[in-house]
Amino acid sequence: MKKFLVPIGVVLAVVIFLAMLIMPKYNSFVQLDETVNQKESQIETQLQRRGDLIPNLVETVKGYASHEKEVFEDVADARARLAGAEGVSELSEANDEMTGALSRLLAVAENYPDLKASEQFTGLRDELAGAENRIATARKDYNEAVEEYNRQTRLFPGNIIAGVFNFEKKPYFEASEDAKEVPGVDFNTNQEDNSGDE
Amino acid sequence: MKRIFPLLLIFILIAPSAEAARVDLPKLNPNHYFVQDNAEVLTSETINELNELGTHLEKGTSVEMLLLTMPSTGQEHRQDFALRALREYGVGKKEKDNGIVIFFNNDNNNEFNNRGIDVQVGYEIEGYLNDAKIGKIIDDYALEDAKRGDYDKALKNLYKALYEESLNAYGYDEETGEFTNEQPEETSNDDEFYTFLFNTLVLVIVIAILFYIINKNNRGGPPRGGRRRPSYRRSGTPIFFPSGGSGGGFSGGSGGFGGFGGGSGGGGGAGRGF
Repeated sequence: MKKFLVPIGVVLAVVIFLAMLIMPKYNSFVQLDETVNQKESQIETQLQRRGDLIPNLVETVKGYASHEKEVFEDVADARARLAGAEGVSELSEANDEMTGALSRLLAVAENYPDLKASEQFTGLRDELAGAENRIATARKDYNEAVEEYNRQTRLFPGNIIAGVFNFEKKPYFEASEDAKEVPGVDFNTNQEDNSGDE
Repeated sequence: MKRIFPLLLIFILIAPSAEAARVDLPKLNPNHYFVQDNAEVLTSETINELNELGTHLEKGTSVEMLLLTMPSTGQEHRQDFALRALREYGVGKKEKDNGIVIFFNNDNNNEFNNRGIDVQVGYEIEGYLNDAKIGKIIDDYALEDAKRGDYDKALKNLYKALYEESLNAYGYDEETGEFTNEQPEETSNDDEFYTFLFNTLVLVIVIAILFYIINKNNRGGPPRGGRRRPSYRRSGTPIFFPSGGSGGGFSGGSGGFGGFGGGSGGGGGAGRGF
């Protein structure tokens, strides 16, 4: 065997060895990245699912409480904003707004015994609660996926590989802490809250 | 020492992520998998009767329906706890996600005013038991008795009602005692094993080449000092680890049913507080 082949062989082996170290790490990043994307689309699906319930719910409440215009406008505004939201952080903000508007709508409904007693409304409320819970679950799953992804891509030595291949840090889907609690909203105060921020 | 540090870091980061201040799910009693009465609100007749229904349902349709009662869920929301039970116990078959958890919490002393019933279902069950329907079933079959404090009766009726719904959904024929749906097939998940095998194999080959070259290099002369390559020590660390394989189920047990199948759910269901 020729002498000059030896250093070439050594270099080749080192390159292969490094590739073997990097490749599984890289692949696992791709997998984590895909998981995050999948969980994100899951959130969107669940938001959509709740969105589809809203016209029905609003119509039902309107049947008994047509003069509560403010609440309906709130819901409509929140819906428009949610539809226009892009990216996780905008989405989570719009979602908070929607959750707030809907809980105000439900709180209004509390004042109408006939509405509360109607079977249709009970069913819709269950569907809505289920939809909220699905969103919360999807959000939790997403955040867990992001946490895993961020941890793996920021820990040494993964952070070097992540840096080279541009695996960027991903944002959490934040939700206000009280999103799940029953709202204690006072309806007698006038809330002219047509803020123009987007 | 330097090599230990990243490992230590991982360890430190992983350890606290198991959230504190949560009530752990109790171990399943394998004598009656489908009824886990931790709050002790059920009579033994009810437990046996419902467990038989659950066993029958699982045999015929592969749907797994768990009735779980708890004396307390700590400060966790009832709904969250029920979903956690569904996922962590793995109620339902893994490839079908056809589990149902009927959850009763007897503790009314937390911030969510939490005594109540909550039903959580897996993805497949959502098809025939949507949230509104579940809510109505709770209202019709359980709420009145539960409000009076007769939890045994309330939960029994609720279990039976959901049992009937499931039988109907799977086309149970009372004459023949047969279901018209097909049996679930068990699919094995060997992907991870082969990936691991492949990685190990390639690594072994690379190391072999390295050794070969080093040996060739050193042929004739004495080994040079300080040219150890510690990197091959890494071959033992698994590179791919399974992502979030929900465990679920205990092996063993009696009567053919050996534990829940690893199902999951996305938060579908309904609940009532009282």
